[in-house]
Amino acid sequence: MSTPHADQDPVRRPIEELEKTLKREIYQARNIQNRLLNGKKPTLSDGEITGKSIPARVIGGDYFDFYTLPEGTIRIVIGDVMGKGIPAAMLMILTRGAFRSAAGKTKTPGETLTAMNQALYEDFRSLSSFVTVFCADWNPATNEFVYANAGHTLPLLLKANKEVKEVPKLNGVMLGGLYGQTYEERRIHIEAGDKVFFYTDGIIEAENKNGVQFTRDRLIDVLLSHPAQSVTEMEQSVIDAVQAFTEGMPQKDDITMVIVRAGYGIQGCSRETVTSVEPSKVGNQHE
Amino acid sequence: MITIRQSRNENILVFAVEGVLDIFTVDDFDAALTEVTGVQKLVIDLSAVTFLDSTGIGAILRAIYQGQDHGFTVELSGMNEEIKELFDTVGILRVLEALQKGER
Repeated sequence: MSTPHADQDPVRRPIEELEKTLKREIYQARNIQNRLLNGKKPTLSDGEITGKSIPARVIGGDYFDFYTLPEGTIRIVIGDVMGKGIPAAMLMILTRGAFRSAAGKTKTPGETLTAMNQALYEDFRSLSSFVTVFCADWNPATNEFVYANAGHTLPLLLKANKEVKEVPKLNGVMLGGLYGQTYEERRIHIEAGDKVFFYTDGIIEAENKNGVQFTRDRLIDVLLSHPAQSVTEMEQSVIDAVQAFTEGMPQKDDITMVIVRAGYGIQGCSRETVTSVEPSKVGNQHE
Repeated sequence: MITIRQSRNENILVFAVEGVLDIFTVDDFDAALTEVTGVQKLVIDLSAVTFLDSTGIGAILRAIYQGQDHGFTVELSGMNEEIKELFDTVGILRVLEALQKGER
């Protein structure tokens, strides 16, 4: 075995050089995460979908993703790993791997979360960490929207008539919290023009210089004030509103959102309006 | 800023947490937690908590796991409506209940 040359010995290298290397590697990690997060969006013949994540630090622990299933349904996921920065980012990548692996092998969002929890539990438990995840299947042809929840904030449903409410309540334990969890599902029908706004708490907990939070009410005001916007315009409006509110204060938490706008699908304009919510229990979440 | 006032009555230890429990203050909570020994119950009083984020929830989760590993129960008290709703959303009350019932 050869002895390391003096300038290759990390102990002898000047601190500035080590800092430079660390900085370079962190920015490379940022590029990797940015590319993985903000990759290709599904191509739709009708309706729209977008997603954006802005880390509070160089990299972050928020996650969103889209997975197109063979029949054209889009499996959407949004998640928030406990903590911030590099540790959270490492677990976010683990979460992404679990989702990508589970999405193609499971039939429903509830099954996806169940499989993800199974894959992630041991690691998250040993690290005393967790990730909250909301997973939904949106079929752009029929506008059926089926979802399951592992401890995440419920998305907002913006009706075309300007009404805003959360999707019907559905709670489940965060991933990594309990071994062997199964996740209940709910099914709703969304109408042409309706938008679904998925988000992480970095938006509503953004603070201004007086320590006042942006809050869900302000978020709803922003969404209501731009009803005709495309999903990417709406995404930008939310970012602008949060930035205007915080007035240059450092971002405290990662900010992530996914927006879906329902089109007319295969049913066209003559489709009958169906607004009832039918819970569809496929697992015993609390047993 | 966080303050953790500790009081002990025989085998019951109370952590009265005041202020913010988040990424900037969690080390203080964890330091107090690592010193917990020889108790049957740890009561975490959250009535004076003004803000708690996912890192704060992680700290509570660590207390629950430590209780499971070291044989003491954890009781959460003084939760305001906001914290109760947050705990209900993430499922931490369900984790506490399940682990104390002996589930894995």
